[in-house]
Amino acid sequence: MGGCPVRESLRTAYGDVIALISLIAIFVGAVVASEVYLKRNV
Amino acid sequence: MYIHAIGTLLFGIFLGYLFQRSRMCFVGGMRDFYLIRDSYLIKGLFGTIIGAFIGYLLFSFMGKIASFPWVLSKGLTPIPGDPLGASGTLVGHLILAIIGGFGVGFLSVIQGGCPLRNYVMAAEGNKTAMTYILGLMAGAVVFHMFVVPLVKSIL
Repeated sequence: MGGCPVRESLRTAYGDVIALISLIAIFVGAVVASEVYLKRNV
Repeated sequence: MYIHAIGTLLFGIFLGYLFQRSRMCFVGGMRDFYLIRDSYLIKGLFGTIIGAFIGYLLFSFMGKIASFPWVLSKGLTPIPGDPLGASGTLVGHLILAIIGGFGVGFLSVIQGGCPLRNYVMAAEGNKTAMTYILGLMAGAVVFHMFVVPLVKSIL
């Protein structure tokens, strides 16, 4: 991926499509973890 | 000679203060928005993108940076700095972006925040966050020493 969410945001602002895709993947990962981990442990 | 180092340090102190006061967390913003429709933290993500875009635009007009916006001049190739480097294929970059992004999002939710938030929490004295940062550093070393050559040979 090449960096943390901060760097991916900066790269997205620069016009890097791969970084935008990685940000979307981060969101998907956060959603899946919320479903399989957080909701079952709350 | 040291002006860049001093400037970076001052910027870092200022940003660290803002991050601590605002509880800024990129993955936390996504999590909160998905779970309880709380948009407080995710505003930071969009604010960062918009602020950076305006900054790049200004510096581009001043002639300080080239190839902005990147996608118009370089297409879908990523900005240098990702593990595959210039030798990687587009499919390889895409696969790493999706796998890496999913992993960062998934594990950050389990840990309680993105790397940025963990740095702030470590500075606040949170021992779990301190351990996370040590793991982050160890993981980066292991990835670049052992995983990158393997990934490059596959992709």
